[in-house]
Amino acid sequence: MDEAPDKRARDEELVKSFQSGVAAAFDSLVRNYERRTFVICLRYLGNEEDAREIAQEIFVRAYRALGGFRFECSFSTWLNRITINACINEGKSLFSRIKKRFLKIDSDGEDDERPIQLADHTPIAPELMASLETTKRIEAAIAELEPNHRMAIVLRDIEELSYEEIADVVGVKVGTVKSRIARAREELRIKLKDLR
Amino acid sequence: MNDECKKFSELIEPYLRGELQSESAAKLRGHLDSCRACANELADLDRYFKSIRQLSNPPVAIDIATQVRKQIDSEAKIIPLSRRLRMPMKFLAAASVALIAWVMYDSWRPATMQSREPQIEFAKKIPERVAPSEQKPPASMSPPIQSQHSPKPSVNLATGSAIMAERAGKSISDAPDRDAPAPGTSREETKVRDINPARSPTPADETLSKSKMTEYRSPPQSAAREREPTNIVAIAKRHGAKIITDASSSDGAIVFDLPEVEAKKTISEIKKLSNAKVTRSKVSNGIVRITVKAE
Repeated sequence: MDEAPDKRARDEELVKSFQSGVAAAFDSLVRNYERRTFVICLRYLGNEEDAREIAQEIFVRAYRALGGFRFECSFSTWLNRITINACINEGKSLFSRIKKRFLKIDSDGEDDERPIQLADHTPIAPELMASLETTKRIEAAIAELEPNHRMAIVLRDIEELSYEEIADVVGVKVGTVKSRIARAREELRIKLKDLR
Repeated sequence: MNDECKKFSELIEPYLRGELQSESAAKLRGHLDSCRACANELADLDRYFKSIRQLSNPPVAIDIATQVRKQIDSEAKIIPLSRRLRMPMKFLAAASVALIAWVMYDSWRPATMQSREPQIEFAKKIPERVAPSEQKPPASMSPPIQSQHSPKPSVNLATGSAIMAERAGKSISDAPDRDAPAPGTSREETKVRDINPARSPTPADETLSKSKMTEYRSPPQSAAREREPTNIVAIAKRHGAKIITDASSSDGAIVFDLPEVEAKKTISEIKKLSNAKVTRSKVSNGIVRITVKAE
């Protein structure tokens, strides 16, 4: 779905206000985009704490760079580019952190850094339980996708960006995006077929 | 899957997203009524979309904005060490470059003078042509030497008078300040010195020659100063400024607009770097114009 023209115009107005010194305009932009940015981070990184930290860092980076924003693309596309780059970089460092952690467990026999998990005894309704279970399965299946495929699925099927916008923010051709999404969906279909 | 199914298969996703025009949607529905495979594909994709869209609303509070505001405010109070070090480091770098330039200039100077020997030879020919009219005509009637001898001005390194006169857009005889005799030297002596290469240079000649050489080349101090505008523009850009004119403008001033909130920091950084005069004026609500001019 392409970005609505009035939304783009509203964003531009906020950016111009910010550039002319109205600090609150940036807060409005953050409010408008915090959910999307957080969801992309969460679904790509698969960890709420990391997602929150990276989303915050993305907006701080945007704050520092917004003074030089030249309106060559929409604010949304610009922010998505920052988000994707940050996620990919964090994904790489996250991977190396996980690898180190496993190496530590292998060598020490136990992982001292793991937080102690306390059992939550709050009763959960069976339907909600099933729904949560389904969500967890989907999350796990997405987390197992190859990073490029995962990002394509997050942007297209979760955040509903158009193929053209995904191609623009990721920096590949539309055909490549379509092929990545088709492969990722097929992989997910196989992984999740018992959920039907 | 036959060709017709392939064609309709591509329409299933836009149909489920509500992006298909009514005519195409009606055609697809007609096909789905008669094709079980495509109907199953639509049902699969519909289920997939419904499941995956649950992920777009995580069951957690998303309050990034408050944290972002806190971080921005705290960063505004504390200037990070890297930023505090940036200006002194830049100053040290500029000073080092200036020092290196000076050392290179000093060691390179004699070699350059040797390399200009052929030009001195050319200058030696001047006496032959000037000699018959050694009786100096009145200044008002004296034609420029360059027009008498050559279409190109001669480069007389002994005095540099031709170059200086040419730069000033005047003939030698019209450039009395440059060629004024040294104290205790008559005007005639000066002329003889100009046109008599056989005479060995006196210490006074060397002093004069060196002082004029200095005028032809940028001294290292000015080389360092030339770097300042680039740094000032870089500082301004880092604070989100829009550059109106850079140092290449006729008056050498750098003018830029930037958000008022950034003005104080930017001016302070520029002042740390340079002794230039910095003036500030308001352009519009929240935007100020900064003018940096070398004193």
